[in-house]
Amino acid sequence: MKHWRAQLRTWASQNDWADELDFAGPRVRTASWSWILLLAGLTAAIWLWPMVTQADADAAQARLDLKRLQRAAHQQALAAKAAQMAQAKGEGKTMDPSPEAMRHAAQLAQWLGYPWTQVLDQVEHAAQAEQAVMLSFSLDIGAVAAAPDAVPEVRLSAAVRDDESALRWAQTLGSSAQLRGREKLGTPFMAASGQYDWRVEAAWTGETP
Amino acid sequence: MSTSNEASTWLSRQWRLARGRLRTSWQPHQLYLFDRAASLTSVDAAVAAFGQWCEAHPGEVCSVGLSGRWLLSSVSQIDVDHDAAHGHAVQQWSHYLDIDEAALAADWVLRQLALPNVSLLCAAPRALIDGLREQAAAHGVRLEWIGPWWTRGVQAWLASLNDDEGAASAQPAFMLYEPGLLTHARAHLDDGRGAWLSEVWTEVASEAMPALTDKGGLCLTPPPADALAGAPYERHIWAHAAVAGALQGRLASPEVAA
Repeated sequence: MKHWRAQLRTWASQNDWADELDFAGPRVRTASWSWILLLAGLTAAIWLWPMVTQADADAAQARLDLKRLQRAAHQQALAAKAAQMAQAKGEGKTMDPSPEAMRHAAQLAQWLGYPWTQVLDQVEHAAQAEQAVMLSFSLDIGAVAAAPDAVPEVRLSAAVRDDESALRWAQTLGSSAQLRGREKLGTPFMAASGQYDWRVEAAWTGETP
Repeated sequence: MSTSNEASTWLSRQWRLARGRLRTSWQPHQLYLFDRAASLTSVDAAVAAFGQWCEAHPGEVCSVGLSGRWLLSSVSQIDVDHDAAHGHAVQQWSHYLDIDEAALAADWVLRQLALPNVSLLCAAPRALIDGLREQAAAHGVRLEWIGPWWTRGVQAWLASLNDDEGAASAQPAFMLYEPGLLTHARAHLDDGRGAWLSEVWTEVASEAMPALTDKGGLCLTPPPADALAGAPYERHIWAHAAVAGALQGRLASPEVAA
């Protein structure tokens, strides 16, 4: 017993002398309580790890549940709204549109009611008949929607070979067509049907919707 | 092709270093470094021998016990204060060995150990310590410790005195024998304060191992023939079991312990 006590004492104090007389040192030795702290930390980490992973899995599951519940709540809200609308329809109630919506709907109806196809066909036909090359086409759609019986003015410009072609082109468009101007083309060009030197502008009331 | 060879060599070296480190981390080699022919500051042969040992043990861990031939020791009883003990040691070494304070600071590595009632100072040649470190670094060897070979032996002896309630002498002494040198340690026993170190000195001894009396002591005996590997460094380095026991402070046997 005494021998073991002496050995223990020797061992416990052994590093003191050697550490102080170390020519390779000074060496920083880790204190025993540091190892104990490390061991305790590792033990705690090992002990807590399953709990942390379980908590993590629970949190992930809870997030999934929450999403599912939110989806269900949204679907329920939609179903309730649909049921409310169906009930409102069943009771003969209609939604009163606002004046703005009404005005917009009327404007849209005016735009859609304009005979776009006929007007464009007529413009194309006149251009082909007199070998005129269409340069521009403009129509004020605001005027289309201004009133149900409005007759909007169509403005056209085309390249023509000479004055006679210009007149015939205007006549082909219709009786309401008027030549508004004539000027030399900035860049005259030659085509199979002849030399195009002139640019003419015409105004035409087109068709009524 | 050469890059592949270099990588292979590098990997092989790293593997040897790691294997050596793993093998000896728990139980470092205990080496006794000596040079019978050297003077106090002649260290080249010992450093070269340590380099050879490192080359043969790449990556390994070792503790080096230095022979008393290179050591200066002083026990200051006057004052255990650091500066006073240092001054006392310088005075002693200057008187006996002609080493002044400037030379001590420039050429020696000094370590001081504060003990109950006294202060123990030891110094080793800086060239020796630096040389050992360089050789170790060059071969990936880890120097766990370098110090007087008798450090733990004296410490264990003092501890045994404290446990020995019926000590025969009031000033017990301990002898530490190494080939050609004998280091003496003397203690003082006080009723109240236990045993404390009072003196350490080294003197030239005969080659024959002294007969240890009841004063007790430690002997560094030469390695047995079957423990020798025939390596050139064995003329300056011993690493057999008796050396390990002595360096670790295991008193040789009940009959030689005080």
